Amino acid sequence: MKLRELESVLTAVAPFEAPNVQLEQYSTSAHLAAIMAHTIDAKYEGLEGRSVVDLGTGSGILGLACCVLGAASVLCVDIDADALKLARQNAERLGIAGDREDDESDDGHVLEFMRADILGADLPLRDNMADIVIMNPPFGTRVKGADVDFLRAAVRIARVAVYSLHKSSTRDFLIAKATREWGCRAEALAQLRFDLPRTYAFHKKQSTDIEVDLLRLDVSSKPRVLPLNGAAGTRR
Amino acid sequence: MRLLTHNFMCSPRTKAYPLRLVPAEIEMIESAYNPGFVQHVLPRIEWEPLRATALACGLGELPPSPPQDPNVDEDVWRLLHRILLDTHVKEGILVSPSGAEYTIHNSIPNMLPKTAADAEPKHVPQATDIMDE
Repeated sequence: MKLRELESVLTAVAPFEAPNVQLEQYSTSAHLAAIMAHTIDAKYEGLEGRSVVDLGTGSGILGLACCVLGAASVLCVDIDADALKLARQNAERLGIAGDREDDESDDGHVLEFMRADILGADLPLRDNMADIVIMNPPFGTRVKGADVDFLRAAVRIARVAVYSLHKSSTRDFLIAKATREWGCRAEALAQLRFDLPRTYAFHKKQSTDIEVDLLRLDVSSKPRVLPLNGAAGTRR
Repeated sequence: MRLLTHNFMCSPRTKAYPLRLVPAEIEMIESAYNPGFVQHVLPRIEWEPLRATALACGLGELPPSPPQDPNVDEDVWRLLHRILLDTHVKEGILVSPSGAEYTIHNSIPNMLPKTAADAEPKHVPQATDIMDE
């Protein structure tokens, strides 16, 4: 599927109506989601037949993009029940049945949802259970270290690669951490503009573009077991 | 929640495994047989917990060890597909080895500790965790 076609499909995904500030629920645009999923599919491992986890799924757009591109299974994880409800509705909007209460049919997609905390070391998934983790984590502006906790959790559960969006200003720090502490090969694949619409009342400007990196962490060289302790995890 | 997902889940804090599934409502949704994907994920499946869970859900008995060749024992591969991908737990409970309970409602497991008292102790990282070969 071409990039433009994927982006067009993903425009049906609805964003948050009432985003939660503390969770940094900025909706990922159809444009960014399409670029991420298409990059994996066209330039790296490919998504066909892969098992994928979307951490902090929000509207579900990244996980759903992977479904559209033929991932064999996608697990969407979020701490927020409203986000999971929205993600499920968005799956319906895209005609992806997944695992609905009233779903009697099967359309070949394995789409799963789980409510869980990702901060600290609380993600309740076994190491290396997924091929690929795709995510747009919190940038760590509300809870310091949240971005690192998400990335560490992703590295732990992925066996092939992690694709994640981060503020460009944190690039050197995150790449050094992923390389030296977690034993990954890490690189910034692209610098993108993340259009932050005026989501919250405290935002003064109508919208702000911030520079974000699409990071790729090749986790195939990581040690078999990563240390669990999280940097943030102090939200409670 | 499919049993595929259940096999990958552990306790949030302690990473204790497996979580015992107590199903209250199960729905079978038949999907196109996909031996390729089952074969792809099988190396990551914990076999004994899967066998126990399949029995607890009344899905039949898997052999003592995982099948090797997808061209042999097609019945076992088909049973595996049915267990991992076609079995949807709509309602139920997951119980950690220490007794903490997590609810599955509307097919979504809620892995947040119910109260602070329910939260299991923080995992204390061991030095051997880092390069445990």
